[in-house]
Amino acid sequence: MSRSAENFWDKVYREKTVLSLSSVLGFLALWHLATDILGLMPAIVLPSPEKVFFTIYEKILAPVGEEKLFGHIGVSLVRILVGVGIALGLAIPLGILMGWYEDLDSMASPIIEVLRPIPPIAWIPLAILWFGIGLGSKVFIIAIGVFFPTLINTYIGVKFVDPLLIKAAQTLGAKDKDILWEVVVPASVPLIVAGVRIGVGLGMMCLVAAELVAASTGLGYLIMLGGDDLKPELSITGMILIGILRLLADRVILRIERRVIYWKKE
Amino acid sequence: MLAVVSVISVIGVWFLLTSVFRVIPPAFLPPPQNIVTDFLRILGTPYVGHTLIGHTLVSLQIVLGGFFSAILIGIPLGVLMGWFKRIEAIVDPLFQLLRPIPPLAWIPLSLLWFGIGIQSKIFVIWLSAFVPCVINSYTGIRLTEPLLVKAALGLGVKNQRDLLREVAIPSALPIILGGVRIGLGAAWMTLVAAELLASDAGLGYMMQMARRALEPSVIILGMLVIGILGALMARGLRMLEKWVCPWVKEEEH
Repeated sequence: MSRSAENFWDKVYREKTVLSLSSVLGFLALWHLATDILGLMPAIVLPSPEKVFFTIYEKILAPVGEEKLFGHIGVSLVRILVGVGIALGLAIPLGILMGWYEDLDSMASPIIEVLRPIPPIAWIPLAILWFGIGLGSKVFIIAIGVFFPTLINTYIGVKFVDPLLIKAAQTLGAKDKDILWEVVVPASVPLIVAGVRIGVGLGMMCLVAAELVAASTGLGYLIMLGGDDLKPELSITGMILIGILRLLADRVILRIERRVIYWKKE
Repeated sequence: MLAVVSVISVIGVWFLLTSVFRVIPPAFLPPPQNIVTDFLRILGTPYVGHTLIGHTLVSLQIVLGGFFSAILIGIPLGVLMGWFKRIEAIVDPLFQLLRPIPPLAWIPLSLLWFGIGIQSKIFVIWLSAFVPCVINSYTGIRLTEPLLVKAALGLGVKNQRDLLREVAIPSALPIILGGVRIGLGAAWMTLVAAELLASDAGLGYMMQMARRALEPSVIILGMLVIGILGALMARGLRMLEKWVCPWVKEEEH
């Protein structure tokens, strides 16, 4: 690349960084200006950015409702982990079996196709009726959210494995059971992980919804309480934390994926 | 064949457990025939304010309002972000900041800002469908095959606008429509959440009231209506997709 071209790209990148930074700073400045300086928005409608920041800081030490901030985060984490655990424990084996055994596929698929279009959040009233407003109903809804994307990706992954791989294994004398466990399942891991990622994203949404509707702890409860008590800074705190949690969860799954599918280069 | 047998046997077991052996109390899981009788009952006479059709229309109006405004704003914004580097540099960081927050989490703030009327729900649904519309339009434009652009330039396309209109947008269309489909699913989910939390009409409200009245058959009825409407709209979008971009081969699921 010639020197002038290098300079050109340097300039483009520098311009991009400057624009991006100034856009975020400009957003914060506008927010600050509208709330604190010009007072266009009353604090019960939109609190200033500093107020949100201090709320986060303050609630680390002072309890909101039954828990302090980390307590609420912990409660939400437990709910999501149990829900994800149950869903994966059911969806991955079922998906593998459905993808491999055609009879099971044609029996289970119609039932799944009936249930799948129902948004997981629409299960909330029934879940509360069945399991009460404790841990059970939340875990149930999260599990439903995680279950379907994981199941479907696992199923597709197993069903559409490269036939050449299966033929090669057969030629080498592998038995059916070995082909499933040694060839088909490992080959479908990337799709399974992609399904888990979609599922966990959906599961976090279900967590928030379940905690908004009926809970006295958790990040969704913080968000709801902020609205009910006219303390929007509390809602924004909860929203920021759930966003961070979601980004972290995504990162963890990607890291696990890289470890599990070590043979796949990026 | 197996499919029919399996659906019938599930309903059969459900019937046996609830109606014949009465192992499961009807307040927990009502027998299947109750859902049919409740369907017929609510179809004609109002339940918590509206008939089933009335609640459905209220919900549909909110979903469609939010969904179409998301398409109208989201797709142009995504296309512009994908095409102009400067717009991308300004909008993308803000977008990345807001994106990880589940749209549902905006419901309490939205209620605070817009009241419990129709606007607050349309806002949240708009937000939930807006994000996938923007992301997919943006990605679609960015993934435009450079060879196509070069070919168009070679064939004498002169200005940027023609290049965008005749090359980039058509080649991005399947991805854009994929985003619209994801947005539709998100819109339905958010609708249910918003109606469960605060409303005085709509399918989510009907289900919430049925929960308080311990009438699980009405809850299940609501779930079925939501599922069927969502599936029908998704199918409609898929048909539109086939019609608008017939060159795309059908993908699995």
